[in-house]
Amino acid sequence: MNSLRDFFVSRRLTLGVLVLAALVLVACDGGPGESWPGVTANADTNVIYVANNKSVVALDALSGEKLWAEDYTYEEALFFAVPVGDNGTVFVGDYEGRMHAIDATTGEQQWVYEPERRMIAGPISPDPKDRVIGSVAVSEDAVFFGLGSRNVTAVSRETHEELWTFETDHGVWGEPLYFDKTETAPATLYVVSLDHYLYAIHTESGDQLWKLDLGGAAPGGMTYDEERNWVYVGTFVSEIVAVDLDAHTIVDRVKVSDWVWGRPALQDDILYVGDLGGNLYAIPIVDNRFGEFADIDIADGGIRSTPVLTDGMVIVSSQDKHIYVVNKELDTVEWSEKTKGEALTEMVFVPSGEEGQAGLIVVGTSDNDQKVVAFDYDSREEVWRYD
Amino acid sequence: MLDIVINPFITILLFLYQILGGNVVLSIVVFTILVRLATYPLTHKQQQSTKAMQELQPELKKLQEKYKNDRERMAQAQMELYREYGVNPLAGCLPLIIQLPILLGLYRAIVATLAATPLQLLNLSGRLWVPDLSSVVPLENKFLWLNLAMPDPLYVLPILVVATTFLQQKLLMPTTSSNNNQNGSGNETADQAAQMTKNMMYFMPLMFGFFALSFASGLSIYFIASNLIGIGQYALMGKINFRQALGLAPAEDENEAAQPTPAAKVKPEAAEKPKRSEVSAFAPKPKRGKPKREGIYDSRAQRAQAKSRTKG
Repeated sequence: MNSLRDFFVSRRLTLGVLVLAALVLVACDGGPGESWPGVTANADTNVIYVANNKSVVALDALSGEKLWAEDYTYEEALFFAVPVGDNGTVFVGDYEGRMHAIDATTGEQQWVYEPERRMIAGPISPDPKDRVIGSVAVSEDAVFFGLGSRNVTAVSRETHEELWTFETDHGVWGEPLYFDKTETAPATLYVVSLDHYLYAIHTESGDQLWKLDLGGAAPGGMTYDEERNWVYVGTFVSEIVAVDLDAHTIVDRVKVSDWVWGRPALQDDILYVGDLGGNLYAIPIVDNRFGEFADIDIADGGIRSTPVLTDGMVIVSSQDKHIYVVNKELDTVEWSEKTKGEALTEMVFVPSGEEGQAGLIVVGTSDNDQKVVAFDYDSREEVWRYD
Repeated sequence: MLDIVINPFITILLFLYQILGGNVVLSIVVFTILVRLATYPLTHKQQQSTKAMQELQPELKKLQEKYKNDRERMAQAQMELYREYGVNPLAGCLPLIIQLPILLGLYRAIVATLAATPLQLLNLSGRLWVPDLSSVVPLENKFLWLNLAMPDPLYVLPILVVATTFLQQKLLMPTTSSNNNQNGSGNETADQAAQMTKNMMYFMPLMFGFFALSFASGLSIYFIASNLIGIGQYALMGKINFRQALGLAPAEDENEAAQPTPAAKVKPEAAEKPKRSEVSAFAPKPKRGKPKREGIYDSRAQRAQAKSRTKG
């Protein structure tokens, strides 16, 4: 009975603490405290670049040996973005809107762009911090990147200052596409946004050239089809959309089962793309239209990354903590291998360069003990891991 | 487990967003109102139970004084008192516990649909009961100076969250608790409860203020809407004395506090109940009906008691 009385006494406090504890737990779920590793490779030097949490790391692609690591002491310098290497410099944006330029050989920071914020008094500013979630596009003079909540920014590679900001109505999470000027067109940056639009932006002025409603949010990047001058985009209305960059029109669209986040991979006029329902599709392009596609329900979790294509095989990673190797007809899963964490980030295939050996599949995972893992394509054994 | 709650909430929120012209703030406010209405029976029961427990505080205090050296007998007497008044002391908790997953679901739905981070957006996939609503994902995050997926850089919303949470706590804080606390009569339980309530009155606003500082400002909109709607809801139920809570009218005096809380505002018949001092806890008990099965607040039993006592 005493305990019952005590219960009454502490009831309010207990319930209050319960509510608050639950709110804290829930708030942390998928919150800014978590990120997935962005993985990319330099095929010429066989170096893997990994951006994760507060570090950017360079690893030897074949051995996994750490070549250099740049650790940041910012309060919140989380990296979601995939680093991009260009001419000896690695560019990667962080979770406070900064853009880092790092020497690709030594890991030393060359420069950092930090967005200017107007301060009213003390820490009070009308400009909220924004996040860089997608990777960058690079021209000779500038670095272009989207921000998590809205807008695209161009930063000068020479002065490291902002050149312009292009306004979008929602976040830009995918990698922009940059095209140098031609005889008929100015240098143009293409971005897709969560606001449903594909934008063509004049890279010198930052002005909009044209825009096109895709019908749904486009969180990933675009895949460029050089032969047709088209781009392919996946959307959250479960569609793959083909856009003609010359005509500024949607050429065709195909409906799939679930939301598409990953960028499609293109080979021999066939698009390979996964959806967040765990399905993989092979969509042929026939007579400048989408043909009848093949699909396979392969994973129990979403496929967010872009499929990696090797000779005759399609490799995908999944939220269900597996990588899958499927033949290109999508009728046979050749093999699958378990990863320790959810494999949501882009994968890299590193050719071994030796006769009779295919190479390594490198994938990032959400598990701290296996941030990046490399599997031998032939033996399926784990060759190295970075944690 | 929470998916049962979160998924329909996400679907409803997106549906509201679609039909309300893509106004995310309006959607959150309407959504909060709908959830408040849906949980009204639970809130009402909880209020009744809390009120019934409040009314019993003077009686409990007397029992504690009477049996301060015999805890076992005091416990028996308390149980008897609860039975007599048809009050289930645990009944106040149950509605709160049932509401907890609803509140969490609401919270998660707002966070997920604003898609502040990639993992939150990823978490949204497969949750829509109406696939057509995919076309409105994610919600527009721009409102006035705010990016609803980010904390308010001007700190206006956190201040409003703290203020409205405090106001709600203050308005709903039982006045008897404070009186009991002041009278220094040795009612340890009541004093502790009052102190606890008082602590929560300051603790809760600060905690929610911290949330508002740290998380998406869309959530702050929800907190503010929820607080204001809560205050309005209780005001409509006639359970808020604004003048007293705001210090514009004197608090109830000790004598008033020592008697069962006048229930006339809520149940006129209960106000006829005589002061407990006139009827000992162990005086011959009036006949009463079978205790109500769920017994949160048995008004029939009270009516019968009041009637028989008045006759007696």
